[in-house]
Amino acid sequence: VKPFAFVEPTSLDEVIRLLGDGTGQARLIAGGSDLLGELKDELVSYARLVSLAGVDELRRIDDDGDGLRLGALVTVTQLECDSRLTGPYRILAEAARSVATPEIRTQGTLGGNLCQRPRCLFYRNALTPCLKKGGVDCPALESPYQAYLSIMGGPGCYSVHASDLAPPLIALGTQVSIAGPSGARTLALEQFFAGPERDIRRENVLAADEVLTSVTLPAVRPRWQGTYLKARERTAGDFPVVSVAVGYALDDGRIRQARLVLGGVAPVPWRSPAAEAVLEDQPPSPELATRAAAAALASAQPLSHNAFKVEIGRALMERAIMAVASSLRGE
Amino acid sequence: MGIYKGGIGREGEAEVRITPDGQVVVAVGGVDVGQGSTTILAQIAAEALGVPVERIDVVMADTGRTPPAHVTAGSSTTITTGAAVKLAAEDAKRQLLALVDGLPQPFDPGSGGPGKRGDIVGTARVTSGSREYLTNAFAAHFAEVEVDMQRGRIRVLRYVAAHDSGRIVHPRLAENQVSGGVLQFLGIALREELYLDKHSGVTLNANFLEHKSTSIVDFPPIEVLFPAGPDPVGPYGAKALGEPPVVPVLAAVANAVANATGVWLREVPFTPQRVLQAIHEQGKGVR
Repeated sequence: VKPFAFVEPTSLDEVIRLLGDGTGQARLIAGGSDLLGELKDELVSYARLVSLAGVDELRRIDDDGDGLRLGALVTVTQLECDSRLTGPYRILAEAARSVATPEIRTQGTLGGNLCQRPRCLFYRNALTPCLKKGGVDCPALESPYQAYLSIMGGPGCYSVHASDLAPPLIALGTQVSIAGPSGARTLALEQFFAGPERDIRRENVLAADEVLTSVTLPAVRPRWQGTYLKARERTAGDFPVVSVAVGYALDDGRIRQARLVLGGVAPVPWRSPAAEAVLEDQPPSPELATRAAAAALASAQPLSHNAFKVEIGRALMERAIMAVASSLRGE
Repeated sequence: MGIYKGGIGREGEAEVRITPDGQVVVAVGGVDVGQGSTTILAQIAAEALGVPVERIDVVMADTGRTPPAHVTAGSSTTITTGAAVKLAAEDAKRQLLALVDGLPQPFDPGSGGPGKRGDIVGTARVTSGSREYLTNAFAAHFAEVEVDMQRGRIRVLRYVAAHDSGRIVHPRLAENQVSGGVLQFLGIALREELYLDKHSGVTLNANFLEHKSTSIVDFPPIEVLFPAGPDPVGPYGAKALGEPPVVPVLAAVANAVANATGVWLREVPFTPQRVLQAIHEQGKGVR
């Protein structure tokens, strides 16, 4: 690990001031479960790490009756266990339970999970070139090892977003709050993620001197339910090869507020309005689930060695759609 | 089914020393890398000498004190080093009895002893290719699997490993050795693979995060059986056990998959990618 200064401010203003020294050489650290790996593997180096640990307000979970605000430092374990994540919000607890291992869930934070870097083997290896690391070449496209690469195109970089929390949060219509030198801003979590077409070296719109401070789950109709299914190479301690968050309510047996978001298939969490449109206003059935799943991946462009992800994704979506129906019907 | 070449494939030497205070020190050049050979060799020496096992100290792989040894490998410690320990202990016992034979009878310990001071040292050497111990170890493994034909995922629901390794010197250690070998190769059957980047020569997953050794939740309970009895030729009827448990695993899983689905898998690990590919190539797709 290259040497760095470690600072632990106690207020958000101070954090922003310490980030914005103008050199771009500072980086935020929360749980560190991803960043320490990047530092130790010498994929990145920073002159200064600004710890969020001293900013207590970021640890809060607030229920203001109109939604649930989750601070950026809320741990994945808290999401797994908090009693307020029930009913429509249970999908988030379910996804939290599928993250990594108990140790990492205890250390890892909500904000860190959303800002995690890609798992592409070529990004993660200091000895291989990678566009994301400032290289001029992407060996991943020629590689047979493409389980963690996009099936929805790039462009340029085909790494995928591996967050387990992002798909259910997007399905819930979550807003994200960001603080920076010029104040606070709020945007839909869906708009927070950004693919390589915007900046090949980043995965979101956060500026170098900005902080993700919280996310807010809106009040969702009580009869809305979702589920999160995740295909991974091993059952514990693994990232999604493909994951899917599906949720809806039933009115007179017909699907309302259908949401379908895939993880691990694209450089950003991949919401599918096409699949949602297939589901909306229809009674759930295996045939409908098959059509919705096909619609979600109709535009898939798998690489030479990862077409199997399309198949796995379709199977997961079909099962998730039918699982929500069973759950809503009390089966 | 598995078969493992048996017999003594290398040199084996042992020294068994009986000290004046009645301790026994077994010295061998091999090393206990976790397989439990310290215990096994002490058991063999205790049996040969007719003394309790707690009287035995085992010294291993100490170049100042132990005889030369071949590499500790090839499922050879119990059968090769064990045979040498047994012969060395028998040698020490013969010397001890000869000494006792020379004493005035009845012998009075207060009379000043047998007139000899120091240790009694038995030694033995078995040689490579010795026909006296030539015997194979056998195994039959049984896997029950569930295959998700849409996701290409294999789960092993139940696994039974039956082994003929002659007499089982220490059943608990032996069971662990078998289940450990099975787990190791179930990992290779289902998941583990090194990714080599052909352009750079770099191993892309040279760590335990990216090289995914399968974790315990992915494995079924492993039932271990030792239905065979002592072998006529091994030391106290024991035969090789270290490596035989890995021999049938990949085939057992592949055969179980073929039995369940009609799909033959020919390349490990049987990842969802390979399983789905085989399903389609062999016309067993469910869509």
